[in-house]
Amino acid sequence: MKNLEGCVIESYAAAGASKLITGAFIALALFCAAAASFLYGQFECGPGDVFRALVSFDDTAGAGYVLWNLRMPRTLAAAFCGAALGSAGAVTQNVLKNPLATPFTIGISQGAAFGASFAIIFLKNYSSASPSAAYAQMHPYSIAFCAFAGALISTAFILALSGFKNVGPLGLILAGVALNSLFGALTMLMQYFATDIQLSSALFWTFGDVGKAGYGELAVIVTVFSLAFAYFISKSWDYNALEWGDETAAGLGVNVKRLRITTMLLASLVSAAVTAFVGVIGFVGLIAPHTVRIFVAGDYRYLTAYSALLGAFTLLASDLIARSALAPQVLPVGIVTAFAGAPLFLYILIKGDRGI
Amino acid sequence: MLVFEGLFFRYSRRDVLENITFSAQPGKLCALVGPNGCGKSTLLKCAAGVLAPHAGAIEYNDPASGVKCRPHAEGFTAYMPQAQAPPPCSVFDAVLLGRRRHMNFRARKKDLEKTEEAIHLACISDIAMKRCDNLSGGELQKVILARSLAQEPKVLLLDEPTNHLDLKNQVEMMKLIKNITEKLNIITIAAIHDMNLAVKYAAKFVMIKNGKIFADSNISAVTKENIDSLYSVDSKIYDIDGGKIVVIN
Repeated sequence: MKNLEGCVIESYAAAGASKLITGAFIALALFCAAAASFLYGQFECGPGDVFRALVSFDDTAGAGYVLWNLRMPRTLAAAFCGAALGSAGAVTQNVLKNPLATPFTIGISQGAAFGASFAIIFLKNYSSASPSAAYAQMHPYSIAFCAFAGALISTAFILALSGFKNVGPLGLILAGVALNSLFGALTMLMQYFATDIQLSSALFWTFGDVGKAGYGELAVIVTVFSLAFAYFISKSWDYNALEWGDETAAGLGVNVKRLRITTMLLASLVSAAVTAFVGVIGFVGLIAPHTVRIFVAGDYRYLTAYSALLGAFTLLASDLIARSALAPQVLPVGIVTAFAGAPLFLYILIKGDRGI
Repeated sequence: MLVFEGLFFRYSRRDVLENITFSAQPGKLCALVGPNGCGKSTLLKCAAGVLAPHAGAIEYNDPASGVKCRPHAEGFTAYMPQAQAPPPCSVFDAVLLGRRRHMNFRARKKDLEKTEEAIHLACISDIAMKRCDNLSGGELQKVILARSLAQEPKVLLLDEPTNHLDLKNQVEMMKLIKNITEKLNIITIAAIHDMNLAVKYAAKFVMIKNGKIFADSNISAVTKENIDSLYSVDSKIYDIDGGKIVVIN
């Protein structure tokens, strides 16, 4: 046996430093994407104008107006929604022991779509001709509120189930499949009896679009995300322990059941908030954690935070593509993430050595 | 001393452990033997706090310091479950995980030092930077033993530590466990299937049959009658070089 007495901690510190460098790269990419998002748009303005508007907080005219009223909320929404979906995906994959799990697995998106369809079809009289006008006409929070409520029904059902009986990770996933199917059927039933305009409004809602969120919606998303993220980070070691299985984690003093339930509750809450305000955005919760895993393996001290950063970058970059691909037409970002996500994800699956 | 007092456990109406009462001393490797499904793993899980017994008590007491407590609640136990697929983390991180109770987010200097100490104790410093999912079965078991040591346990609970290992690794692992038990003067209870490994390295034998204590003694418990009745086999026991060898006909 080689004698490496004393230098184990040093090599460990070096390995840790390389993980920090990975994080710095992702943060840098995120910064560039945010800068691009501030600069790009139909309104022509140079970096100087944007910078001046940024530091002067002047939103009255020209570049300042465009920046503070259009590009800033859009950029922040993309960044925070991406961060929320990325980190929630990372921890969900851990507690459900399934590399393909995201909060959507347990029925969040279908629940939210059900709530939104309900609000659009039953809570509003349609006098306007075009779906987007009818959509814009509604009270801004009524759809979001119903979508949030729908997502919470899914969450509550799953959590009640896991508390009621000793349901393990696989049981949670199967229950999610059942819930998805149930809410899907209910949504289709409502849509079957809806008018054309109601139907197109409901469909329009499901296209995830970060342009939907204003500062008010953002405040809700940021608050929920911050609370959940603080919990996820504080439980980093517990997630690392759980990677070794429930019994090892319990032997190390982790309250496995409480960790699983609290994590699912918080991951569902952030996803519900995101989905309610910007619509369904798929794949970010899968792409971000799995890309990060290539660099930091399964270490949740880095994985959760980096998934948030990379999720933010992914959604920002996707939104830039959505804004520029068919300019001046702006595509819903959900379409871009699904388009880019599927092949990228297949690539990670084929290249990856994790035996997923 | 670790005392099991009238321990009962049942999985949905089936009694798995019935009135288990025995004690284990520090510095002496205690082997838990018995056929598959007799309740060895369940007993270890109860001691580790993974399962909660339905009746009875597990108490740690140290006459020297006067400490009396439930060992798991105080973080005195380290539990090594049966071998399973490892996640893709580094060996150092896997061992550092044993310091979980002492860390918030950042590992402090003391945690890193204890981790390094455990790595040296388990003789795995040459693989400390490898990834756990690239290790052989023998290496992985040593990593998990090192993690248990990083917990600074007073009670070490091992569930079939030599399972899936080749002959050389079985012997190395058992030697390591025996040495650690004696050197650190801790209470070690190991579920072991191989009677000859148990005979060679253990100082105390607790035999379990159908969830009840069948025999509880030192090497004198290893007799033809006990082995035959415990496993429903026809065995012979030879004395070779002052030790016993169990042979099954």
